[in-house]
Amino acid sequence: MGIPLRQALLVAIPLVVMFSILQAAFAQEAGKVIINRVEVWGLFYKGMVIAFTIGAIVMGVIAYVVFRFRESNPKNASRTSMEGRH
Amino acid sequence: MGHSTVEWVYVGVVVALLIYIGASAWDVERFLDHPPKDAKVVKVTGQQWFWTFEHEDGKKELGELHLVKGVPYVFEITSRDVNHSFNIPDLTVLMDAVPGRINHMWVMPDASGEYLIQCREYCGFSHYQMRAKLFVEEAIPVSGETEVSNIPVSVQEAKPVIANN
Repeated sequence: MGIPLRQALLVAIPLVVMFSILQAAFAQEAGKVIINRVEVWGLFYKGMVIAFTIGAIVMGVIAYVVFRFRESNPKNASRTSMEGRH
Repeated sequence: MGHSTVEWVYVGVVVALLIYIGASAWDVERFLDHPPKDAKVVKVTGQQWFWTFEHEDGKKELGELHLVKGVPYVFEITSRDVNHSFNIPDLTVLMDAVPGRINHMWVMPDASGEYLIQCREYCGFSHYQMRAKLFVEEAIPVSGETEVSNIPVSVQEAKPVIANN
């Protein structure tokens, strides 16, 4: 088996973050002629995609936690020595 | 895959996406804040309840603004009485007009046509009527030059086609 998932992610995520910051920091100097309409709406759509992605991740995690730790899950039966004895 | 891995991925992906969109927004904001050096200045003044415009050459306009397509313009926006907000929805221009203060916003119209200018800050009884028209006109070709777009379609079609191979 290759590199474990955790290590791969722990390397990949900071690289993505650093790349974004560096790209903006070393971008062409301000004063460039741009079409505001295109840039602003492009940013808006990008923001919407990211907002919904984060929403999906958060909702997915909540669904997973609710399902995994539900009371009816056999793994959660008698979690402590005191439970289920009265 | 243990719980800690899932948590790290959850936190890491969300933080990475937020930083990415933050960096993108900062980048766009930087370009919007710094007009090109060759941009022409237009003074925009709001007052109850109309807009006045003054070009670099001193030409003044009332209720109408004529700009040329493909030329960057910096708007110096102010007000004579109360707060207004200078808004051209189709060009994503929106900036407050505040008495005693000059706010800047720049834009390069990329399509000719007629656009709406409006006040976007409630400024009194006739706020809803505080509108103006923006006319974006095609650049006038320098003598000797002819823009392809000005040539009738029938003439463009009649041009000889040169094969590449």
